[in-house]
Amino acid sequence: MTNQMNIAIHENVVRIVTVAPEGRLDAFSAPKFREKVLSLIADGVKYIVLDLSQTPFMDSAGMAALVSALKQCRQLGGDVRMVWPQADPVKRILSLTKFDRVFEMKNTVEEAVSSF
Amino acid sequence: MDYSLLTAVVDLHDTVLSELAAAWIDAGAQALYLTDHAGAIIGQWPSRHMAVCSAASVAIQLNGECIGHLHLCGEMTSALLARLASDARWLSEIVRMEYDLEKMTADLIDQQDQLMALHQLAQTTRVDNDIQQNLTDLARIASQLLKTEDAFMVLQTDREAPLPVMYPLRAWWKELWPVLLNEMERTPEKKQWLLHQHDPFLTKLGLPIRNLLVKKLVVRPGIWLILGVANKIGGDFHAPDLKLFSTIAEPAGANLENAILHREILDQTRIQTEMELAKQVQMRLLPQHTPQLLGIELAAQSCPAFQVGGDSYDFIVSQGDLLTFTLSDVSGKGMPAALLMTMLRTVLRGKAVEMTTAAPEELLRITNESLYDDFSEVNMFATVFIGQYDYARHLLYYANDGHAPVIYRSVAGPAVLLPADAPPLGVLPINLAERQVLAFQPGDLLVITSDGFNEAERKDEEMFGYERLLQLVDQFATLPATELMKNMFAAIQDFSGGHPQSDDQTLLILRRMQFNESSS
Repeated sequence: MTNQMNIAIHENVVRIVTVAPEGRLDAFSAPKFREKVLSLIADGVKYIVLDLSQTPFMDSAGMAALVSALKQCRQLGGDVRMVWPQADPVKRILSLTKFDRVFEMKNTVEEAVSSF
Repeated sequence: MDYSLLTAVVDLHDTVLSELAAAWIDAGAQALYLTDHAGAIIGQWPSRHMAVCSAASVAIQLNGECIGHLHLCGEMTSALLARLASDARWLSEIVRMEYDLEKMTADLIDQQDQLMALHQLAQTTRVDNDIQQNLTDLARIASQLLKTEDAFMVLQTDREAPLPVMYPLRAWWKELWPVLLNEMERTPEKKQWLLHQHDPFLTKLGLPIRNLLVKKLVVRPGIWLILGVANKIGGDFHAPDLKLFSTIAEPAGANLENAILHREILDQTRIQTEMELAKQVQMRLLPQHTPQLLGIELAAQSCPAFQVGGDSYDFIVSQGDLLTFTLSDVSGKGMPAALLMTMLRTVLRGKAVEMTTAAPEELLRITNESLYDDFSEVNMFATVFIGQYDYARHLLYYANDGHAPVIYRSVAGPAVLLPADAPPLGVLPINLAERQVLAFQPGDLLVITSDGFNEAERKDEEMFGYERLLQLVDQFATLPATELMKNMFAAIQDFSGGHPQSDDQTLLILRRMQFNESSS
């Protein structure tokens, strides 16, 4: 009989990337934003925090880019959290159009990151 | 130096020279004769005089260079020598004049050649030809005018693949042009290449090219024309060839630019015509008349930002005193949004016409199921408001997939925003919309707009916003629906102050009339 013991150690590191658009997320900027997020996803990222705290305006094209990110991540078994915007018009549009029911909304990036 | 000029002068002025010689012979000289620069006799008087017994000879010069001699046979004195020198100067002057005349003639011919080249270019390159045909014509003319075996053109743009053309087409052309383009990219500062036989570049190429003359010019920013001629017939390229080549190159570039512009205008016109047709089709898909129903007023209008758009509204009157009305806004703008809008309208209308009892949430569920995959495929979605108004009982049933703003104003006011109860259609595979009910009192009002209203911007980028929209509805709430609609569009236009409309603007109004109002 031997006292030897095998200890298997596995470390799982989940990669979470925060994306924070700092200007208007509209028809003009949305394609570039979408391209950036898709390149992250292509790079293996599937957990994304969309930090809208510094986004002053967002239109339907901007929202379409966010939804596209969400669908891609979920398809890969990942997910997206959204940090509430500070700008009232953006907050309002998210609530009025019920996008706050599509994304899991968080108050801060820290809260969003720890929620995965 | 052209030494044949002196011979030409002897031929041209034989009579005068004979008279000159006769005067010398009268004065006692035996003979007069002329030799060229190499010493060969090119004229002698009298012609039968065979003995060469030069007593004196004086050089004949052209531009400071000796091109021959005037010889005199016979007794010689210093006075006669001075006379002979004077005659030699006179002959030199005749030769110089002949030289100037020949040079002027050559210049004139040269200029005529250039004018001919321009004329041929203007005749051949036509704006209504296709670009490839124009390039081929240009290559053909360059080859003819510069007397070369080969000529080629490459149209290079920063957006499309290069268009290489050769006249006549050689098997080695496909090997040459990529190498040339590479070389030009490597040395962008160089605009012209003149390569003679045995040039290392030509040797390395290993193609049947003896000499090569290439020029690169900017047709307009982002478009370059590379012109080249190769294998000069009977020799090499010289200064006049380079001059003629430049004469061809500049107008060729200009003509080509005209042809490109012509093509662009045609393309644009075709697209505009198609867009105009698409606009007409889309406008025909909107209700041509607003339903006239007892006790309620309806008004609706859609103004796309571009020729076609993603906004739509519809009215469907079905059995069971039911008016179904929809307002939808596909994310994005222009043709992609318009195509999805058409699909959405078809599905919604197809289901709604069959309904006899109000179930707007069901209509949204079925539509979402039908279109979710298509919307996901193109990363788009649509906000959809569906109202079903029971005009016998004046009950409004509605369900809202992410559409805003929807404004309700009871007769007592104030106007309030009705939030959506589910995210837009196409966002989630299941639909969360729920049925809402509002009992409509006389004077109650429902105003639905697309976000082109609240997001309308003025020059300082300030948006119209929800608050102004609510105030506007309160301000004009008692007006007939069509008047309210006109006032709302006018207010948005005033606010924008000429700032271009960037999003589609659609408005739908439903108002229950007061008892003292008559239905018109």
